[in-house]
Amino acid sequence: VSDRFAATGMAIFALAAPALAWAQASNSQGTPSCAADMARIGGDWGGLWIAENMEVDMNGREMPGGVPLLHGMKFSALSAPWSDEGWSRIGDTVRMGLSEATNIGGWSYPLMMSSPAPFKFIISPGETAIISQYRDIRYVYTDGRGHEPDDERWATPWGDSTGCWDGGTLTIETVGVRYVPAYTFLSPPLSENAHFVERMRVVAPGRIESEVTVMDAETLTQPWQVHMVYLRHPANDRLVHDGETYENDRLVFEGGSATISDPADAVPAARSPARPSVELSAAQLDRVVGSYTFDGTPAKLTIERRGDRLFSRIDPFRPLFLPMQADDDLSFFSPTDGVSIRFIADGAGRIRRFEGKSPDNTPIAGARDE
Amino acid sequence: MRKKALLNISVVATMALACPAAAHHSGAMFDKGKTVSLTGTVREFQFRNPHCYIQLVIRNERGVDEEWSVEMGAPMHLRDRGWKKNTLQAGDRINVTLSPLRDGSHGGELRIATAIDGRPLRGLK
Repeated sequence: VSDRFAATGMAIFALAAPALAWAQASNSQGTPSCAADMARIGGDWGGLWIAENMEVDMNGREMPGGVPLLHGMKFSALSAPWSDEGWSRIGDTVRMGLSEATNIGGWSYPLMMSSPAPFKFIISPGETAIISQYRDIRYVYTDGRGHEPDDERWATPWGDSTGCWDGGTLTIETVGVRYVPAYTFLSPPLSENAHFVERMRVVAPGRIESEVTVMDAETLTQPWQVHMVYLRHPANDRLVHDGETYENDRLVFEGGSATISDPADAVPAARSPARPSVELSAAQLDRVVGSYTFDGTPAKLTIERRGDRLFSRIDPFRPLFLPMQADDDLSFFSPTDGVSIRFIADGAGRIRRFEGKSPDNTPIAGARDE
Repeated sequence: MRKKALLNISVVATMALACPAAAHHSGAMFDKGKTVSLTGTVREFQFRNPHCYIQLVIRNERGVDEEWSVEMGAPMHLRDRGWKKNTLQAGDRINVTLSPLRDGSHGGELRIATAIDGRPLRGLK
């Protein structure tokens, strides 16, 4: 650890600690509290926010003539004042960045605070949530609690955050952040002992500014200080989570190179239309309701009626009731798992047996329990 | 120190080719140094995550129809740029400019899209 880092880090801590303490002491009419005083927050934190220069074009990449995304991402792995240890850690970033095979699942912290994904604040007195369009979520507890103890906390891509409201300024401390390259290779590969302090406030309508200090003696030569600007999203005021439903992922590899799959390969298999069924009266349905035992086994078939529909259960193989539809007053099928059953009546018209097919077309048969 | 600065510049330059589209995959598969302009008929507009696609049928110089897959961003990004799920319909005639796939397949990443009359298909909000 360099003396420079230690000295600067101590100075930052010395500045941050009194700010937090003062915020705790001064909020809510002198009662020590970090809670948001909704009447004093001031400014408008509502709506959707996006980091400056992070709007993207219709192809998901930077706007024509705009700042390249990587240059605009102030928390990308390429921006930190790395020590030799830090530089040695960005190998994953470089390797994955150069690979055509690289996907990312989301942004994680701190990159989610300087990514192309808009986010919003949900503020209540004891908690502020920061939720990004890609479902990266930060819970910032402002109810006065501290971080989880070291022996109970494990590092995650989003970390453990506590915060203090001082009027309209929110100070957030975050620890326990884990770099997971498979999730976001562009995030900075700091150590799990990194400590983040953010101080953010609305400085003008539609503009939040945040001063961020990242301290990590293991990977940085000095505290990493970042000035962030967040702007109310100019084109969007609704958060739609659609980040991890990869139903139209057409990235494939052929001959060692990435390419786009044939559209036919990406179309979900056509679903068969629902099989029609006939309507039966309650009396017709009740005729087959009861308990049956499979021939030669202790397995049980149970038929019960719920309103105008029969349900079947097969113990112990399928111990849950599934709906049955009728082909006629004696023949039924399960549209869910494909079981088909035909009930057999005796000369007096009373149901005595059943036969049919299992989901894999194995013949089944059994007798009604007396 | 100078060595690190050079490394940083080098990494930024190369990574600029590989930054994932606002999440999902790297753009390294597209040749950003080339553009291809096509005029064709939309067979299908796939407005689904993680990438929307225009399936565009064009008639090549040999008079044979061929289909191109034109990759776009996620639905959320198209919405921000004024696109809707019904902005394009099957049968629409459009012009596109794209960065082609490096492997020579009929596909690429969209740069510009216009209606056949030249009206930009973007920023319609």
